[in-house]
Amino acid sequence: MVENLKYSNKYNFAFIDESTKKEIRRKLLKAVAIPGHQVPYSSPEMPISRGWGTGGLHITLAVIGRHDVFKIIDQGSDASVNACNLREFVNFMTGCETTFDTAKATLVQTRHRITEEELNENQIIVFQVPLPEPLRMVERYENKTLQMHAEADYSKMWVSLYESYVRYGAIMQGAGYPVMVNGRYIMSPSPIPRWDTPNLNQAKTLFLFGAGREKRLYAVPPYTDVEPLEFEDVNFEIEDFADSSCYKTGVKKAFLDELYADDGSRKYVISDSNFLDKKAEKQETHQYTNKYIDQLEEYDLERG
Amino acid sequence: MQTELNYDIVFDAQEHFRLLLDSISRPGKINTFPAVEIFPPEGLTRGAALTGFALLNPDATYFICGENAEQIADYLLINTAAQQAEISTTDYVFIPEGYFDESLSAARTGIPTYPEDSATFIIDCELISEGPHGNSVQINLSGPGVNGEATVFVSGISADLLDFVKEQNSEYPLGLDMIITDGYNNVIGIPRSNKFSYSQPEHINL
Amino acid sequence: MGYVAVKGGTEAIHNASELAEFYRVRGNTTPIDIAQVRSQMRLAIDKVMGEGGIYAPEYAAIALKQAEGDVFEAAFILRAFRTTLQRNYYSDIINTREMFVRRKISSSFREIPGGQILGPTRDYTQRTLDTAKATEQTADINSFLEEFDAKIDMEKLQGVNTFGKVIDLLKNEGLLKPADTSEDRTLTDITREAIKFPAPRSARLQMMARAETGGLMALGYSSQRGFGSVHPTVGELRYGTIPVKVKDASGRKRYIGKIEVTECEMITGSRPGKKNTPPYFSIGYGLCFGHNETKVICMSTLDSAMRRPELGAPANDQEFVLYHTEGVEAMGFTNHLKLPHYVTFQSALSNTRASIQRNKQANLEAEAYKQIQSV
Repeated sequence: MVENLKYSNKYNFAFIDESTKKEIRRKLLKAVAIPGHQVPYSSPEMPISRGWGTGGLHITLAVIGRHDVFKIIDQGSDASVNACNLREFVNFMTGCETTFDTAKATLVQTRHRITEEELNENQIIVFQVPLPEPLRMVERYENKTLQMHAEADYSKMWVSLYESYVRYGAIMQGAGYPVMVNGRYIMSPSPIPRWDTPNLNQAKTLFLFGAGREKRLYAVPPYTDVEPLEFEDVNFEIEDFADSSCYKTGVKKAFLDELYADDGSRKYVISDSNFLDKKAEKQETHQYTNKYIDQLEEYDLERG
Repeated sequence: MQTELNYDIVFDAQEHFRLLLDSISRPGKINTFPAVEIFPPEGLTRGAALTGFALLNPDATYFICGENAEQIADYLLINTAAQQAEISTTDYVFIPEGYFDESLSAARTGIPTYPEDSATFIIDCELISEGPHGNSVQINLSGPGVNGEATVFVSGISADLLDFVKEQNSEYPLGLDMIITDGYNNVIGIPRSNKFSYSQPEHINL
Repeated sequence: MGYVAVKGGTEAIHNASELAEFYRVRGNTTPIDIAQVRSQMRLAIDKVMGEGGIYAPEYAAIALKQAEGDVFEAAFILRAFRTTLQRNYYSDIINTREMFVRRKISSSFREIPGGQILGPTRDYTQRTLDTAKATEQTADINSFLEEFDAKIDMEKLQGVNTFGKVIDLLKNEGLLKPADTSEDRTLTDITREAIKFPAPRSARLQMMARAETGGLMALGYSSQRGFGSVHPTVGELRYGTIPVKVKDASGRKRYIGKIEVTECEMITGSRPGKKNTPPYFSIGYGLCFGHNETKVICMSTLDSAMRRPELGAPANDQEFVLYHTEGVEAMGFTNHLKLPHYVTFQSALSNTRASIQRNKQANLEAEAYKQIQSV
């Protein structure tokens, strides 16, 4: 056991033993080499419940170094209770500096959102994934979905999207919209809102995905094609916040959370807590741009 | 032979892995291992040795091509406890400068359901640089990880080897992934997802 | 907005943790001694070890105390603890024919070699609430133990042997289905790699060995009730201790101790073979740490059931049985629904509102069209 210089207890640096770290690292390299393909891995138990972020943690702990600056968010918020628990765990096991500031972080772990601010070449973001298999909604058996990916036979998925359109007039997929990666694999981007999905495409940063309970990891390298599944005449759309704005900052061009007050009245607030803080304090931000967000230029933008 | 005393199995392994991850994520970007005082045997560069140290352990296997294979194998065994395996089953194939042999065709390229069950080539070369040098081969890269197109110049790498890997990768997602290291601690990664091509220099120094 | 307050999430979780500890100790009663848990809650310990996948009775006792008696939570704690331990050896294959038998019964035959040994069981007691347990004293326990010791005949004790197995009788008579050469016999280690389907039998048995008892029970019960039945009869059920040996660095076999296990060999019908093949018996196998009969009975039933996928019920479906009886994963994921999902929900709201809007629009247009028509 390597002596942990900062904490004199019996835990290895980053909790996971070196053997398992190597296995995860080898698998990550293969995952990056085959964008969008789910690679099975050992997924050892952690002191965190399955379904609460063990996959994201596995990747973070296999990748993190002494000098990394770590940020972790849940639904976009640094203060979310589960994110707080995981932050404490990572900090305790590595001694790493932690931050709420997206621009300062070198390693970000997230549950169900991409940061509102654009991540760069020197940052890595790790997603916690509940259900890595995008085809699960049309095929319940693992050995069958495995074959479908192997043969690139995605007909069942396309039929399902078409049926949704016929029934409801649109593709009724909310968060976790399925995407085609590098023109070969259909992938689940984890339950991120559609707002975030286009930011995976031809991005500057490396995206890593960990599904601990299902024991799969996968990756989207930078500058990779990530296309939401759509038809020529029925297109992918992001959420529409045209009629709402953040009650604290007036910003419209961000993913907003809906809040209900005790009297039943409704208001909206920016979901990404660090972005909200920066906008509230009139600090400089560097937000993602993509063709969908850019269309929102038509609407009345940031006021105040 | 004894284990390297100047190598930290926790922190060096992690730092070097980050470089390898960055290299495979950004084909064409030249990363450089920090100076670590290790003394690999003849035929294995420090870069290749550090790559081996970062990735090998008793759950993974390797195969050494070319000369001095026994010494190199021992060196890796002592420092990582990983065992050798035949080319047809091995996880990592260590290839020395300028080497190519038909026997490499036995290396695993994966199966449609598990394309990741494939070998990785750790290839030593003479020098990797951003601009042409000596009799370097120009490698043009495009695909995941590359912003448009990128070029990198490599000397001491067999053209037959490049042709071979390209051939093996034509049935993507099956294929081989390459980590190329030189005698100056530089490293680049070329995953199977990359559509690379290369052009030989006009004059070849024999 | 307390749950996701902009500041204060950390404070909230620390307070919640302290509050949970308060609930554990606020009765201000005497702290429970680990030795008491280990000794007097034997079956809870065995369940926790079995589901935690690590034979460590003392740690299981600590985990149970820490978790205020929540067996799921305690098994989870043990599993997480197990991950931190270095794995130094693989033991030799344990041989249950070497078992020092504490209990051994068979439902398939009236008499078996060595006899039906009931051993320590409450199967034949009446489940009336014993209020005397509320006022039990050390003196009561001591006098019970003294009387009990007096009944032991030392001469008879010397004569205790290991016992042959019931299934060997069947095998010798040629009644058992011959080993299926087409069956996948690779040895996997499901704690080191993800299970892949269709799974080899080694993986199926390993998953079940540390599966959650209640989950296995529900599926085993469903099979017995006719959802993919394999018509099981207990060939032999055993509980006792087994020696464990490992090979040291020089290759010598070393005895490192003994563990308690429960084992069940279930005689079941086998898949109909080609025409003119006799209807052989097949054996379903179950084994787990400690004393847990329900678990091995269901494990062995499901072992057979999973070899009959053509019967089409959940108990016959490998993926269904193995994924959903994995207690730590199941507990984690079902409970994860408590985590905030408001962004995901917001996305769904957006879709639904748009769809309702489109519907309203379409209805308005239809109305308008009708009106024009009627004019």
